[in-house]
This record gives sequence, structure tokens and C-alpha cells, in this order.
Amino acid sequence: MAIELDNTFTVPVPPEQAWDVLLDVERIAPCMPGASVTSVDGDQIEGQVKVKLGPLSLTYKGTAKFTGKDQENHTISIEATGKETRGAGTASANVQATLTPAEGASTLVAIHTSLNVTGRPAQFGRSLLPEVSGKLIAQFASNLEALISAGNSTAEASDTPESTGTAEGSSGEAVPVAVKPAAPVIKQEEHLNAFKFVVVPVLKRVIPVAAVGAAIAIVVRKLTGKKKS
Amino acid sequence: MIPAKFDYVRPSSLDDAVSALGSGGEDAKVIAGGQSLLPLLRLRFSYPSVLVDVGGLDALRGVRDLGDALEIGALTTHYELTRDPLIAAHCGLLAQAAGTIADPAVRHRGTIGGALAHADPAGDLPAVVTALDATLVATGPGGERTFPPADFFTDYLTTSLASGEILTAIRVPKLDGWGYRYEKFHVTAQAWAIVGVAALARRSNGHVAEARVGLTNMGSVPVRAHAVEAAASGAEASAAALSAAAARADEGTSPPSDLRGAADYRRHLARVLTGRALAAAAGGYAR
Repeated sequence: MAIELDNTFTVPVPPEQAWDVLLDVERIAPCMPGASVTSVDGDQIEGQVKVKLGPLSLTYKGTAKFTGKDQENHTISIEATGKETRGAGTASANVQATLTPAEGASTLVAIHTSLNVTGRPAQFGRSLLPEVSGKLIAQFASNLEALISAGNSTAEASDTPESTGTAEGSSGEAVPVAVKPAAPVIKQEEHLNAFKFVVVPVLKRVIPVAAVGAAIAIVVRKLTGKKKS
Repeated sequence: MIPAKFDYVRPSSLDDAVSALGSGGEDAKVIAGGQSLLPLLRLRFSYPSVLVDVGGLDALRGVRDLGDALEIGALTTHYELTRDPLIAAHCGLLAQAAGTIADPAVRHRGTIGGALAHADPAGDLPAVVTALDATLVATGPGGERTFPPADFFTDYLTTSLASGEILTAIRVPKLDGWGYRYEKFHVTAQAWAIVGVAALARRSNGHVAEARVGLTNMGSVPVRAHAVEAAASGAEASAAALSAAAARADEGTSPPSDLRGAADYRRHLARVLTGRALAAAAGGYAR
């Protein structure tokens, strides 16, 4: 089951400047809420992302790799895969970021994410994956927007603020991130150079966790075709 | 899969429950009937450090008549909702909707407080209390707080309850004489609604004087179909007028696409089901 997600935002800098930021893994990694990086090896990043949404708590560990950097067309492709650490499940994502010039020396950044889940989806009334991943990507886009807009400065860990915390932009300005208790805030390590970053694979993890539900579903499927859990 | 390890306490008073939650920290969870929580634990989507079992708190049971409203204890089970005479007399929508939840086993254990605190937009009761404009009452370390539904349901599986707060009661205004209907659509018996519509209508002189519509599974939170309400209020209780109103059911919604249906299918369902629910709530069409 593949899920397509689209997020766009505009930043008040020309494409070339936005491009430089996007390629700087160490600076954009903190934009992914709850991400922590374990290692960076050229175009490949290993790390994990913790997601908390209501009662849900999931930790994904995996790899993200730059698979394409087209400077001329200002397009970046990232491929990510991950595995939920405490349950069963795998997930993968393809992320494409495209920069197009917009009015007044600004840039329109379009992020298209294609999430793919292996294993059966959880038998809930509503798919967890679109919810959780949608929020993560939206928050990532929002943080990225703030980072690019704030200009070039040393990246500080700027995680999604918790309802009681404060947000810091990379240049010390307040990050215009929506502070909602509902946001999937993760406890991100507040390291100055926290640059671990897994794109979205984590989310995929969730689905496979329903291996149990899957087993039941298989039985049910034989009988009726579908059943709620 | 079995749940991950957790501690368990069963306080005998509301104050003890609140302090147990407080000392349990962020990862403490309330457990009542467990019908929403246990699946999360078993699938290991959730890792509470301690479960605070509120099942022993009798103060949270029962339905009380407050005069112009009913106060329903959070521990009232779905089964009790379907059988309570006060609810049948003054907000029958709740009884009818509760009867559509899952299966009898779940209805005998699951509670209204648990269903609302779990805040699954695909659950039936969140949309129903949203349509009823109920007030949700919670008790925490800072005392009692109340919320209208729009302020209570903030996101998918997320409410405004602060950590350490317990939902204790739901106050429902009496809507005597209003017609109502909860239309729930699913293709497998006892499953979650693909889309559900809770409709209430106050009738007068062959017209719908006032309408309320709440939608299940059309967004991250239960939503009121304000466009439908505006169009239906004052409208003739006729097939044409109510269908026209129902056609606006999906305005302002962001339905999910998942295995059970694509977003546009859900939009279609919302419109059709709203038409049926409104018609039933309006008591059939005027001649």
C-alpha cells in the first residue's frame, strides 16, 4: 500500500540558496521531528525517529540516502527505509523535493513523499500510517521552511516544541512552528550538531506491527473477507 | 503479541487516581474498559509505564438528571447507554448510536469516557457528542475543567486532557422532542464506520427549525457539518430540500484514504448518509 503525500511551502530566498540548505544533511536533519542521527557517510544517513501521537509511541531505525541531486533542475531525491525497533514492521519512502523560482526572488519548495508499507496495515478504524506520516512530513516541511528562511547559521537542534517548551530557530529566532500538544512531538536530543535524520521510513514500521492483526485477518478473510480488530 | 511490561494500580478514590496518574508521569495511562487501549498495547503501538485502573471509582458511574441536562458518568458502559431511561427520554441519539458500537462484548466493557478520551475520529461516540454539543468534564491536579467538543478533540487520538487529568463526566443538554438518527456505514458487521453521520433535527410546521450534524471518520477529529446545518435549518422537511442540504456534507472535511475507502468515496458516503440521517431525524418528509 503506497501513500502519496504532498507538502509545499515558500521561502524568501532564491533557489540557489535554498538548494544549498537542502543538501546540507546536518542542517536539515533536525527539521524532522524526533530524529536523531547515528552516522553520516557521504550521501547516506543512519538514524532513528521517535514518534509520539496521543497514546501511540513508535521508534523507527533506518537509513536515508540521497539518490539524486539535479542541480540544474533543483530536484533532490531521497530514498529511506526503516524498521520499528520494538515491534515488527518495515517501511520505505521516496521523497522528492523540487525547488522552483517564485515571485520576488523567493522559492517554492514542493516535497512529494511516496510511502510504502510492507506487511499488513493495522486493522484500525482509520489507517495510522497516513495520520502519523502526514503529520511528520508537514512538521518537517514547516521546520525546513523556518530553517531556510532564517538564513545561513549554525544549525541548532530545533525540534518541534512541546506544549511546555520553546522553539529555537537556527539563527535564534522563534521558529514559526505550530505549538500544539497534538503535534507528534518527539524527545529529540538537544545536541548542537544533532544531524541524524531519517526521512519517513519509520512510519511504515507501524503497518507491519499489525502482524498479529494480520494473522487474525487472514483467518477472517478466509471466512468473510475482512474483520475489525 | 502481548503487551510490553507495565505497572498496574487500582485506586479507590478519584483523588488517588489523579495522584497515581501524576506520579506515573507522561507515560501513565488510564484504563477503564480497555476496549480501545488493549488493542494498542497488544499491537505494541503504545508503551504506558503504568496503567491506572479507574474501574473501582463508583462516583464515575450513573446518569444524573441536572434539570436542563443529563450528567453521564465517564464509566457508563455503551450497553448502559442503550438501556438508561433518562438517556432514552432526553437524548435518544446517544442510546441509538451506542447500540451500533462494535459487538455486545465490547459494549458491556467499553465506556463512554474511554471512547471519548481515546478520541478516535472513526469511533461513534466522538461524533455523537460533537453533534449534541455536550460538555466534557475532567478532573486533574488543578481541579475540574470543562470542554466543548471542539476544544476537547484536538487531533487524531489526541485530546486537551493534560497529563494527570481524568475525564469524569459528560453533560448532555436535553433535546426533548428533537428527531435524531445515527447512520453508520460499514461493509463488515461490527466494524468501525467507514463514514458515520449523527443527525438531530428540531421540527416545526413541516420544516426543520434547527439541525445538527456530526461526522465520523471524515477527518482527524469528529467534525460538525456546518454547511449542512446552515442549509437545513429553516428548510422544508422535504426530500428535495434535505438532499440539497446533505449535498454539502463533505464541505470543510478532510477524509482519509485507506484500505476501507478512498477520500472521494468517503465524501460520497458522507453526502448520502447525511441525506438519510437528516430524513430520519426530520421524521420522514412533509407531505
